[in-house]
Amino acid sequence: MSDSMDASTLSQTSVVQKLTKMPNKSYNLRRRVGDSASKAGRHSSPAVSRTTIDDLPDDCLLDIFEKLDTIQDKCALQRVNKRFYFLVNRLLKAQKTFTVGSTFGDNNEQMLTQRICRTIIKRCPNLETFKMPGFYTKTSTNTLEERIGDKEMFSLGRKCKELRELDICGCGNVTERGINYIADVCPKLEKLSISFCLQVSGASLQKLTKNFRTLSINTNDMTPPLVDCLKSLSKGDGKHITELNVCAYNELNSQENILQMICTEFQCLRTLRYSIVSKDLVKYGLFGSLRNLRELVFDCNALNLSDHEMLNIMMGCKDLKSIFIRYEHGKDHNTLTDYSLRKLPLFCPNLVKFNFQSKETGLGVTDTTIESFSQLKHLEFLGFRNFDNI
Amino acid sequence: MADNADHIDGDDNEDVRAQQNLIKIKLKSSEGGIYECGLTAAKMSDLVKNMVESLGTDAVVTTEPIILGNEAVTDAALKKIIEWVEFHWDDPPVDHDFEDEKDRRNEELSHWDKQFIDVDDQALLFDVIAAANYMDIKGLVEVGAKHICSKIRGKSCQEVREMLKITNDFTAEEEDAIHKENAWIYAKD
Repeated sequence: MSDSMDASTLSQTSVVQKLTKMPNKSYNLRRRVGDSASKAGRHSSPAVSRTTIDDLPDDCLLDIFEKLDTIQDKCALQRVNKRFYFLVNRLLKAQKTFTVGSTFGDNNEQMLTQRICRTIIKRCPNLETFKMPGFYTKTSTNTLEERIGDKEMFSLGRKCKELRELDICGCGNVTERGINYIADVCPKLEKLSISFCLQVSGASLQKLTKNFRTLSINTNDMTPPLVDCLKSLSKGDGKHITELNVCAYNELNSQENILQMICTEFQCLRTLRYSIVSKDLVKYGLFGSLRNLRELVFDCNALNLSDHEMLNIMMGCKDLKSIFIRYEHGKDHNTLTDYSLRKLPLFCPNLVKFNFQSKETGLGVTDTTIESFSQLKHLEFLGFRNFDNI
Repeated sequence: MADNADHIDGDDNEDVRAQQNLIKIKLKSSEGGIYECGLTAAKMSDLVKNMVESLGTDAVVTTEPIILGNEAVTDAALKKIIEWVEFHWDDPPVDHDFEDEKDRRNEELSHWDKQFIDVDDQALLFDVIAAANYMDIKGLVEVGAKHICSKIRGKSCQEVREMLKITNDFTAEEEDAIHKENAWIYAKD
């Protein structure tokens, strides 16, 4: 009862506010009424107070609105009233980052459809980072033709010239044409993730500019074709990238030695995250050429990494700050021992993190290694998992 | 920033903060009500903090009430705010190395905060937020914003209007225009 009464009096006051165009003044007026009431009896004042969300200052409202992360909520807010419309518009125009869609579509509202994607692009012309892991989900709402495709890439390229980071992981309908267009019209692009983009061949990666820094590709059954992508990237200015994340899940059936190619083509790399399942023996000999490397991640099922090769890596990449190595030790493969690891402090004195995990017990690593690590002045994290001799 | 001196994490510093909170200062609402609050707690408000520091000695601070003149600082709102700062004054400082802006944005409210902010009286809720904004208590504004957000999330514009008791001030033509602006979204290719 009191609620509905409140609502009617409220709408009157806000009408007054709009008519007089002096919200602050009418606010004062109302408050003075509250004041006199409080003199009579202070405890009645909360009932008299009629503050609404409209009384909050703009910056306060913006604080609230910016916390709504879906475009649907923001669009609904825009239609509430004029003030909301302008405030939300201001937010969207200023918005530089948008992350939408969940990799695993348990939350339907967050799922990325073409509609949502296009709304975001239209409303936020100043986007610099757009992450849309449009991983197709099992829910029926996101059918094949509804997935993000080239059309969205075209409108993104037309609208958002400032784009620096784009993540279209799993956007299955994007083809080479879409990537090509983005590469053409967004010269500021620094980061790109084309993981699981099934229809991308990678040919246009060679168009990327010298601003380009980071490429991430996860593949499954070799789509997108990892080797081709890396090859075309290395043909253009993209060869100066500083971060490369590659991950291939299914058994890689390629004649190419991907690691070797990375080492020869991308010499500016500071970060390499390499996670590939391959039967081929990997040759590490060239690894020393990555002189700028700061962070190294090897996450493989059978990593044929011997002491000799580890020494090569250490001697070449003296600036390494972080090393993560994980493998399931295969029978025929070499493994690391004290022999190389205890020399690590000598070659890479700046090491901050060292994490070594092996599925089968690593026999060759003992306390000798740990003792030598005490020389590492900057070490903050040290992890050995499944090592019995430590 | 001068702030940083207060954020140094150490036992000594914590002791000082605890000691200082035993000093009670008086805060006066715009309705005239005077309420006591621990000094450290009250300093969570940047406004109060600056006032106290400009006043100088603690002796002055404890006798004269600090007047919070903004209309939003009603008696009820001020009481709520003091309840909040008295609960949160000894929170550990935010470590900017480990959580960035976005993480904090997505973080759920604590159970205590949820219960605290979930008040039936909407006018009081907005008074508290407006007052916290005026008094410059960022943490509390954040709590209020998150609470309102959680209520708005997933609602249609009509539902939002009803919940927050907002009048639709668009003319029919304007509404049409906005709908048109969005119409292309719904159109099929």
